[in-house]
Amino acid sequence: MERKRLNVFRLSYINLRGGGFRTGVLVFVVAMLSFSLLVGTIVSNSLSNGLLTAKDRLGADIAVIPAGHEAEYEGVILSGEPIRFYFDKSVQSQLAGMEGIEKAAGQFFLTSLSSECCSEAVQIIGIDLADDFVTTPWISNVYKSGMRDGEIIVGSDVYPDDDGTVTFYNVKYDVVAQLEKSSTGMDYSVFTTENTVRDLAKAAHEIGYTQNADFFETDVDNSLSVVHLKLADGYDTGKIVSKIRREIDGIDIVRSSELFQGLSDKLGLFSRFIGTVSWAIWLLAAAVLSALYAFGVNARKREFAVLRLLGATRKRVVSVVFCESVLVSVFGSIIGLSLAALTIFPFSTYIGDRLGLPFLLPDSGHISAAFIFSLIVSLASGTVSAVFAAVKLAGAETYITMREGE
Amino acid sequence: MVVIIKNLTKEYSRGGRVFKAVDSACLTLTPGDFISIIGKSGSGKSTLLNMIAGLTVPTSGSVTFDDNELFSLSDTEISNYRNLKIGYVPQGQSLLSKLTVLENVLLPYHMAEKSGDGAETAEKLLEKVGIAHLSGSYPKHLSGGEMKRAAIARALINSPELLLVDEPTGDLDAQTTDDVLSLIKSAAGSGTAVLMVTHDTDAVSYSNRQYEMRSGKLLESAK
Repeated sequence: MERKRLNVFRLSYINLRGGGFRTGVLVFVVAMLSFSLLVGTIVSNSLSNGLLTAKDRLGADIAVIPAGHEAEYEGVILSGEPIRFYFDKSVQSQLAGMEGIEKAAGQFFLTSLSSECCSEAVQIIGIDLADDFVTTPWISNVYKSGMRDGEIIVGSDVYPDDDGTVTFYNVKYDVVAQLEKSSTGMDYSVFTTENTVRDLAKAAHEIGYTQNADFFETDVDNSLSVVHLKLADGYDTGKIVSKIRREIDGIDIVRSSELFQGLSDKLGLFSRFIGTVSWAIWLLAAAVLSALYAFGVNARKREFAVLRLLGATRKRVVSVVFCESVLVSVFGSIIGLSLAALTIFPFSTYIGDRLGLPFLLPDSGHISAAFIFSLIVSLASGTVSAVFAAVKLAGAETYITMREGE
Repeated sequence: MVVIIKNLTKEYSRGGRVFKAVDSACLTLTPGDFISIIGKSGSGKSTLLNMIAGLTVPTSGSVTFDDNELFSLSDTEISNYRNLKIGYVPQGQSLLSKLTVLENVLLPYHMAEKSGDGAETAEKLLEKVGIAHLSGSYPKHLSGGEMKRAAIARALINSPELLLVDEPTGDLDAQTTDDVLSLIKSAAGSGTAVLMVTHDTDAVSYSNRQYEMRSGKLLESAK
């Protein structure tokens, strides 16, 4: 059997295999570099994507809610914290009649309980199908035929019972669809028609749901929790808000731009922090790699000089170091990127929860781009450092290099 | 191959002063020659050897082989000359530590991209230098003499026309010195021109022409 030729690749492989600790350190540094780059890029992209999707999902310019419930409303929208509040349904018709308001859609909020009567404690949102422009477009993505009374659509993080149903206040409903992940409170909410949610409210009353006495003072059939408004083109939001405040008592107004502004600021700050940390790690890793390769090549002066006196060209000597650095970078990157993928993808929901920010993984195209970006930067950092050191050495006179390496 | 060395000079600067490590050396090597150059440490022997191998660029003068002026060639051409025409046994330990003895011997053969794997040739050479049983061993397990024998086998793998040997007996005992010098002499006997530099006065007796290097000057001495 013919022996394997001692070409550049095989020499590099043998050198790395015999390199032991030195090879291990280089692989570790490249793995750390690619890990931090991929995690940093995907977390940053996921936060931006989460915010964009959250803005997109709300779809309304203004939300009108009962006075004193602004913070609770933000809790529903951003994190799906179950809450109830009501005002008179007539607010919707008042708003719909105002100049500059193109659409006005009401929603009725109810909460379920974490007790025997209910599958789990979630926010139940009743939608006025005739006027809704906020949730219906997203529902139609997953349930084309349109939601009917008695049907339930659940958010991406709400799990139906094994038989595909959910039970609220001892009434069982078929889950007909599940929404795509949005990284907003919608993921932890369930949606149904306004009629169904009102029936549920009555069912809650019948089984003695008495945690909040004010609930029973609510005229369920003539109440709403929020009215979402879409303004007509050319109208100034500020002027409309002032007009609503003047004409309707007992309300609070939440502008979507304001709702997301604080979040956007927080997210921008966090993204910049992640970006800075990622690039700091890259700089550190690049510096460590440069130093390691420079020391490594320096310590191997005699080895490279021997290759030269046996007939290796300068290009061949540089190629050996280049090939070693590519092998180290590829191996290190595979380890780093795999660890990053194992950290990010299975735990994206947990990471989002811990961050307390909308966190939505980007689509596969963006994820692939992040992988390629991290791989290229890791490969380039390692190989440029190595080749720089090798070119410097190969340019020196071999005899002197040989003597220096003794 | 005939190698003609004409007025070869190498100047270095030390402490702001220029000195000639090799001063106008002239020498002609023909097939079968076994030339030894004796001289004290620092006399310029190794520098001369490295210029003939194309490893050190001279300040002036020329090295010509087969009508080619060595230092007018490209790095690739000089490297090919070193790989195919020259066998070089450097001073001290020169085996690559991560390769086995056999792989070390095969290295110049595989660099030349010759057909076949060269293993048979390498094994025969290892047998000739008496270390065939160590072909799978790594340099760290070899004695000084065994490493020198492996380096000689490596230098001969591409059947060179010129064998350059730098201080082959520096750290060897008397018996091993004799074995190593006999191997070098046998290479000359098979038509290879051999140029050996040494400070060992006994070693020169194996050669058929002797020179002395003194303060960079190459002087022919009577046998």
